[in-house]
Amino acid sequence: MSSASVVTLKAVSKSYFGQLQVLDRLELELKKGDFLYVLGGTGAGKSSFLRLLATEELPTQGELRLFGYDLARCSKSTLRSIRQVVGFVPQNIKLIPDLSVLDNLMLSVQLAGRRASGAQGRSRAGELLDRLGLVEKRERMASTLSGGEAQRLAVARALVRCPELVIADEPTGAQDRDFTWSLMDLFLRANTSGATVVVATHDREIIRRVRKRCAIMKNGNLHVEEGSGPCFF
Amino acid sequence: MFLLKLSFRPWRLAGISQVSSALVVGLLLSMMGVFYWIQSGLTPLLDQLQSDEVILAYLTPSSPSVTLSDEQVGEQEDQKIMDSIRVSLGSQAERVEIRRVNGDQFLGQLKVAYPELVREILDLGPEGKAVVPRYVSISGSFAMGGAAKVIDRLKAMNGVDSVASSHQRFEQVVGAFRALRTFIAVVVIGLGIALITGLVHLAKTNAFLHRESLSVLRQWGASGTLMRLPSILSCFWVGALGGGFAAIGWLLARSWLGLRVRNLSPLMSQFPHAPVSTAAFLLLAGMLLGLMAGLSTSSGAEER
Repeated sequence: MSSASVVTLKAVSKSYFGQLQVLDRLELELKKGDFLYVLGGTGAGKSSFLRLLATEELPTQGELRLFGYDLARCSKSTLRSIRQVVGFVPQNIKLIPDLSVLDNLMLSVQLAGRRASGAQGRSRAGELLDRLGLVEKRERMASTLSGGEAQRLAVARALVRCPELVIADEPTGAQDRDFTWSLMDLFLRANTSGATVVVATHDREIIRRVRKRCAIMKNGNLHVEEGSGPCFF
Repeated sequence: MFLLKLSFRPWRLAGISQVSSALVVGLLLSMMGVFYWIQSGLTPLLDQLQSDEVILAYLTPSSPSVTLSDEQVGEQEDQKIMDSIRVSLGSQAERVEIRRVNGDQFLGQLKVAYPELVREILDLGPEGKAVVPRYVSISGSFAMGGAAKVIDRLKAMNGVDSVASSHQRFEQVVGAFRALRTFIAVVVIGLGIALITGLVHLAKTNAFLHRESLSVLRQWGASGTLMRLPSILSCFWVGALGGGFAAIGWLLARSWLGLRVRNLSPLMSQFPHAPVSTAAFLLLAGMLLGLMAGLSTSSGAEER
């Protein structure tokens, strides 16, 4: 996979049912190690944008490339390989309710292939659970977790596989301050390790204290602030 | 291991429906097993009815060279007829039993069941003996179509008045057994179709219950095979449990079944026992059908 650009969007648009256009000619390029906040009001199109990056959907128009591969044209096996290096934290948390907290993490590790398997994966899973206050609930079924706990587990699940691209949609929405900073710390560590991170958030405190590049989504358009400095809004 | 746990999701969410489906699978498999056993047991019975025959060649009451009072001459004439019959049978003569029954022997047999009748016949004197039949009995296994040829030859023979055979008596029974065998085959096929249809519908329901997990697995980069496995295994468990129910039912009921069938009629007294191995086949059939149903609906799991 190409390491020059991790994410490339060229005139990407997305509409539903042929009529409802939610994204309009987006242009974006993210390189390895970039950290981007995506800001915008409710209904601006942030979640749709992040779902495209997470390969959950394809654009209606334009070209979307991840690691140099055009998602609309790549093979299923290539798409599968891309998904194995992406860690996605959706806004609507999807855990596997029939598995325990630990099993949800370990299955993510297993599906990531050789990148994070075996003892290394177990060690990392334990560390993440400890940092996120879930270690005592490791054997409990994921369906028994509260909303905040499920969100933390979703973040842990995304990061345990050492992804090259992290996409998080409102990852701290249901967290108290302590866990909010724990989660942001994990994203920053992943970024420091070389992962490209995209975080959608409303939390101005986070943006103010963890200064990174911003992109503002409004009415389906994406305005990316120039340079890599902190965003101003 | 994780996928194994996932495969039990339908059992957690809709356990009663899974168990009841397994019971229906077991019932249908059991019925198919019973019908198949009856159908396969009828085949040797039919063969036996068609091959084993008793042909009775009734000798003419008064031969031109025999008088009622000259029994020794009558015996010689009957012996000549028997020799003619043996010659006409050819190689089949070695496989059959040829026996002559004269008038006295016939009355002796009749006396067992109808002693009064025999007394009345004897009271008639020489006229009574004239109506008592003499016959030659030919019994055994004939080759296909062999019995009909023998009957034709006997009818054309001098000294033979008429010919009767057990084939004529059992013709309707053989026809009924053939029709029953065909009917059973159709029923077994119908039950099989119903079973597969039911399992495929259950598989679709189970695939729906797995949709949440499938979307997560897809997101994490699971291969198509891994994504199909929970659905396939879910259906396999239902099929295996149903096969297990059928196998247990078969083992418990096979003796009783065999007894009931053999007591239906003297013709069924030689019906084969219900084999124990059928239980293993029922279990395997359940597993296989469950697996096939799971495979049939899981092919759409890997979407982009």
